[in-house]
Amino acid sequence: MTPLTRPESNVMEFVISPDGPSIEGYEGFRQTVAISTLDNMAALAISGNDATALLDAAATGNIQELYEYSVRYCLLLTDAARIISDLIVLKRDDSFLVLMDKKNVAAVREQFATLANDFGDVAIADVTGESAFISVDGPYAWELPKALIGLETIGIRLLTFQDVEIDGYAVTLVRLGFAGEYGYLFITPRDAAANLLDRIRKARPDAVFRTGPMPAEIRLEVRSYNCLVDSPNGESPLECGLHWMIDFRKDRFVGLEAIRREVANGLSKKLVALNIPVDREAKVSKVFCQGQEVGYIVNAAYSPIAKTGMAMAYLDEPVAWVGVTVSLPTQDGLDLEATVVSAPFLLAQSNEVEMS
Amino acid sequence: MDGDIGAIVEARRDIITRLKTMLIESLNLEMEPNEIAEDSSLFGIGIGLDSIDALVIIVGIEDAFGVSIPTDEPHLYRSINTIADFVESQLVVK
Repeated sequence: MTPLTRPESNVMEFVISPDGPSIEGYEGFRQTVAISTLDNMAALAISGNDATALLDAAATGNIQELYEYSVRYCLLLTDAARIISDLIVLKRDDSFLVLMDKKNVAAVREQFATLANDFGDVAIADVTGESAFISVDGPYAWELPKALIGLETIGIRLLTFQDVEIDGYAVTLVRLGFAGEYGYLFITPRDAAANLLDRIRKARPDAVFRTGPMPAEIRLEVRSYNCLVDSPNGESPLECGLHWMIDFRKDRFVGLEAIRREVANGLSKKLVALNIPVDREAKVSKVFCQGQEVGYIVNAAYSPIAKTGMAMAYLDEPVAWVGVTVSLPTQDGLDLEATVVSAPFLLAQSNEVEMS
Repeated sequence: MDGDIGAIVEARRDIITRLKTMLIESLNLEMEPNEIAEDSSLFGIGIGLDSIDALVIIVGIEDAFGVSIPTDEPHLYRSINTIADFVESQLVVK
């Protein structure tokens, strides 16, 4: 077994509790609609004749082949293929809006600015302060853009967006989802945000309203990548299972050579889903298999719908396979048994939620 | 690893390898097996396959493993891992 480099300094402890505090907005996300003002989101506007070339040279996704009014999830990496940030890239005409978590925006901007030296005509502007981001998620999220804009919004394809007008304000309506549903993201000028939020809330008065990033537990249930949680120790995108955000056929992006080496050599550890049956509160951290330490947990919670403990953990590759049983030492000296399972823990689709 | 876990891993690894190879060959994907994560969604936000590709996958699974995957249960072929779950369950039944 190839020994896993243990990030001892950053192994965290997580509490899984069937009787724990409820997850903020849970019923909205899973049964009706949750309206979230994403004050953690940041946006960079990138324009100029070389904007496409710059983004394509920087990000792991294929930006050259991104259609207008389309959206692409991709990553920004270091030369060693460590994740700087995940990016949501929106292409409008020849300019782009790049969304990310606010905590990453300085590093992203620095990386773009460095690369921009190779390109003549690129302008990069941080438009976070001028923009507001309102996400609607849940099985009935589609009702809100329909009520505010019209029936035609139902036909917006996943990973595309439209420019619309609401009460005289320009709004970008993006179809994507952070919670397993195909939700919608409204991007609006900051001075129009209060009005838009009021209109959205009146359109669905029973919706759950909340502020801040998507709860980690909600993203955990549907195995939605969470840059701030899933790779706390500089784990690589392939170890995280983010292959789908990478265009391996591109001939250039930062970190490409390191990614190619990893593809050729294989992985020493992988992020996997653990099903952890629990009937009491448990604090979990490290993962063992047959008495040997084989990994560490990076996110864990109790799922009210699946009625089980769930976790994402990095395991040594030889045991990071569905069906393998592992043990988790807990605070009272008793081990919990857990099983590697297929992700996600929940399948959340249009109007229904079912267990995976 | 003791025999039980070793056997579980080897059986799973074999199914996953065959599934990835089938997927790449039947859909003429310009990919290597190591470029597909087992839990990645094959459709929608993920690898981005479509409903026609789904039919090809269903036929490919039947050819590769001799098991029929229901066409009206799309969650079964959400990812390489969910397909492998189904194939394993059917091979056990056989």
